[in-house]
Amino acid sequence: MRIQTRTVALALGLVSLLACESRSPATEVIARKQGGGGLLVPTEPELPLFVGDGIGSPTRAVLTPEGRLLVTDARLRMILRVDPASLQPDQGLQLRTKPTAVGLLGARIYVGSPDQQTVEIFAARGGRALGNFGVGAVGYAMAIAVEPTRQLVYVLDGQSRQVKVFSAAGGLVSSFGGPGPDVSQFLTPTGIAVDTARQEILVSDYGSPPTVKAAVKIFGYDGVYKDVISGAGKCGMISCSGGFSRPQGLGVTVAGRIFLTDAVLGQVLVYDRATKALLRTVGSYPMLHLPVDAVIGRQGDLFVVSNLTSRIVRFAGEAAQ
Amino acid sequence: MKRTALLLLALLTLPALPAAAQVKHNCAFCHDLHGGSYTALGMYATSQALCESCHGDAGPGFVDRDGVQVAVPKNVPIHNGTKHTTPTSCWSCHDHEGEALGNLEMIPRSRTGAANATTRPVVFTARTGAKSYADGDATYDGVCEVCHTLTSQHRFDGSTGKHNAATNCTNCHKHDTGFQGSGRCTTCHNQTQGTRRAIVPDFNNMAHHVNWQAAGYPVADSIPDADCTICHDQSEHQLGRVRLWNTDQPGNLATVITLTGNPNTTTAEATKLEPHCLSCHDANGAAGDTIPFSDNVVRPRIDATIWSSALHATSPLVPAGCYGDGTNGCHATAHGSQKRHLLAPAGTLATAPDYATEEEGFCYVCHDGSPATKNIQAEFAKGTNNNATTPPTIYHHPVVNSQKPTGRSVECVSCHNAHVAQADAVAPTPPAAYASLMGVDRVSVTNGAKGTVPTYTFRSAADATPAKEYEVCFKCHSSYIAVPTGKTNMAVVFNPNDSSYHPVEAAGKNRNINALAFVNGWTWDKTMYCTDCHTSDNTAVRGPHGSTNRYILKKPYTASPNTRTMTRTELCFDCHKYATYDSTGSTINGYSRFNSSGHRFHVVDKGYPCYACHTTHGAATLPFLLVTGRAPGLVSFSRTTSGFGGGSCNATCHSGGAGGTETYTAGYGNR
Repeated sequence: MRIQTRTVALALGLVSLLACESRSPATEVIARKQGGGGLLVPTEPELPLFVGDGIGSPTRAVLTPEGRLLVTDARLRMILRVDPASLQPDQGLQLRTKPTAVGLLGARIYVGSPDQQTVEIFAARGGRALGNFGVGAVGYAMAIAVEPTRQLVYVLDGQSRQVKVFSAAGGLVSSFGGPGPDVSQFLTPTGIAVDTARQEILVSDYGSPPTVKAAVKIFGYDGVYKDVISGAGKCGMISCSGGFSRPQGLGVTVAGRIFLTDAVLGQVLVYDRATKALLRTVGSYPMLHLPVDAVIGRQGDLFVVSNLTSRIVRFAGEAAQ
Repeated sequence: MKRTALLLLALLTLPALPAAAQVKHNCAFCHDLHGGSYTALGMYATSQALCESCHGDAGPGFVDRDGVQVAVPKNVPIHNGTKHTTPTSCWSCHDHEGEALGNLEMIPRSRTGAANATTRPVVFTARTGAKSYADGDATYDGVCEVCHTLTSQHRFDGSTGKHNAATNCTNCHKHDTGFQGSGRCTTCHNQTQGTRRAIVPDFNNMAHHVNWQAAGYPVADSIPDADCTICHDQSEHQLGRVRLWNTDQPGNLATVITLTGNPNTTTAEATKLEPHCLSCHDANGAAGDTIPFSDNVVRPRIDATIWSSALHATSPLVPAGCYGDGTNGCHATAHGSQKRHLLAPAGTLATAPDYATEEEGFCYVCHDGSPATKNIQAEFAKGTNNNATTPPTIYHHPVVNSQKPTGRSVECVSCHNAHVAQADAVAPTPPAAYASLMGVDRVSVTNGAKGTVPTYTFRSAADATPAKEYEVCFKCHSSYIAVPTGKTNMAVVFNPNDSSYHPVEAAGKNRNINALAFVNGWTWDKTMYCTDCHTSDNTAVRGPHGSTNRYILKKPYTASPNTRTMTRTELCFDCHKYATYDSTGSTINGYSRFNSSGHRFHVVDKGYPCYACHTTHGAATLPFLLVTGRAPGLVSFSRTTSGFGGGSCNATCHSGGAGGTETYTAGYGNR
């Protein structure tokens, strides 16, 4: 009976969402262009063949259903599909503007477009433009994460310093955060990840040193602040050490390991979600030069986006530990 | 260590700075990394990484604390570096000492230019006005002035121009493009820029790319940069180069077209433009976007493959590509033309009522005998238009507006598609259309019973079904549109279900005519074109543009039954052998169905022309293109079907003009 009640509630919620979306111009655009159907099924992206000299300026990455990576490339203005073995792009979607964030949900690719101040939507199969959303709500999409069960798209908006939560069709559902020094607020947010196992949203924030240290702030699915991993590290009488100051993209394993890239450290910091303890570091400069995102692969591999070396670096089995 | 201590001391003892000069990069934001000391920067990757951790492609420094975008992507030189070897890193222009001492943006208090090799003071305490980027006064200490030795503006010694002095240079010369002039394109290009003419006014012309009116922009100056950069690569903008993307590969500098001269006057430059144009006007538009501009207008499609075979693209007589050669050419600057379809020349206004320079007059630029060798313009001058009189004597398709009957119109493009029309490698077989008619819309027919109006099907220019010449003619010469009073519905009279017809849609029905009754290779089972009769009297020119003969006929033909002496130069005898109707020899006139000198008697001895008994195009119920009702002429005809057959003709001229019936036996039987 509890299940039935929950199911009914969920159904009512979906109906409510759909009703809300029906008033969204973005939703209308999408519905008209896509024709509906089959949107929620995880779909391996199939994009035009990539012809070029490799990766340019990679920034964000997500994992595809078949274990490949979709990578934003600001220099090439492309979404690249990167092979997990060769770590080279085999397909690519040419964009008109610089992409800053990418998400993959069902049969859709979501791309942050600061030039348009929107999130653009493309068909995973073929890359056809399906529309956009976020007009007036998203100024500069720093990062995107998706929640596949609830079919939600979390957009970290660096301009409003908020997390904007959208339905898969682009209807604004809720938002949280906002500019400020409070633990539930952001000053210089950069990366976002969804921890489906614990139903948490993790946001990395440079903060504003020395008064507000860099941190990874953790929220519940409802947007309520829950916890923080401070970048201050271990502090003694004079100084601190072992922390982070330029936290960028991050990934979370089911086991609760947080893989956090630090842009100037040239490392990935591995934290335990439960204890918030720094367990170890992965990689180093110059292999990782301005690392800005971390993706957990299907076989426990860790993929790190190294921006200034224009590479995706794989650490085999690192995320399985 | 000593220096660091001094710097710290300086920071601690700084007097209160004006608001605009407030230090934005507080020390701890960089020096307190991970709780490290103020001298610990060296342990962290590289200094470039430190800057780009905020100001790189993935950094949050897209907005500084003043809300100003300062992102520095890696895909451009740090400082438009093609003119010089420095600066090479962020620290070539920025350090914290300058900011601590009052300069904005971490600009140091002095700089040594690579070329002028002199250390000069830098004062940058405001973004506009005095002591800003380049304030225009005689002390060249602006941050944009101290190094420049080659720029066209604001050099270190004031030796060149000082445009937009005291304004914020970064409004146009943005950091994220290596300080190229990348402000609003229209802000600068609405007026002459050096040797460049003003561009924005072109967008007020009749035809232009970016339909800003449809987009709802108030003026052409509102066209967003994003529309300009669909076509233009700006990476060498400051070097004065006009570069055009292959719009299918925006961002791929390897496929960029660089203009090094004026396409208006240089064939080589004009030739460069075609691949650029086609990259967007092909099937997939600009990298898959068939609505490339913000106007939401679908770009007109040109089939690049077909165009590559089109006569206008392949003929050595034709100026190169879309843009021509600066003298002759079809399209003008893509920014805008005073004529429709961006036709050239851009500045020549097409005027009412004829708009000739964007209609037939435009085609005449080439098709007046040079460079195209056939003088089509002369064809359209044949005959005299007195359309208001009866009968009309116009002997050309009335492409001139003033000659057109009310409600009807024809232009060159009614029959020819300039992007598609080709030359025929092998002459097609009627009724298949000549390749010169490819790519135009047409009307096909599904025929019903004899004498009835067929069912029409409009076929667009893109329709892939094989085109027939008569389908192009039927657009106007059938009841697909209203047939003017007194004009024939050609789709009815060429119906193969009719009793007889000239074989335009299908082979004729008079099946046993001896081949020797024809000339020029015609036989009874061949089909023909409308243009076998309706074409220029000039054998060097094909097509029904005009003729010195009425009805745009190839040869003279008088549509009258009155008695006269027919000559072998008349139209009918271009296919039908004159001797068959003229000779007294029984063999040769026996080739005629109307044997026993029937034709000879009527045509030569009595002077009755073909027109007295025969209709021209087709007869719904009578065989042999016979027609009744003319005088002199047939009153009625009945056909004999036994034996070889024959017939009985009741004609106005029989019995000494009193009328009566004469019978005859056919010269050959039906198959």
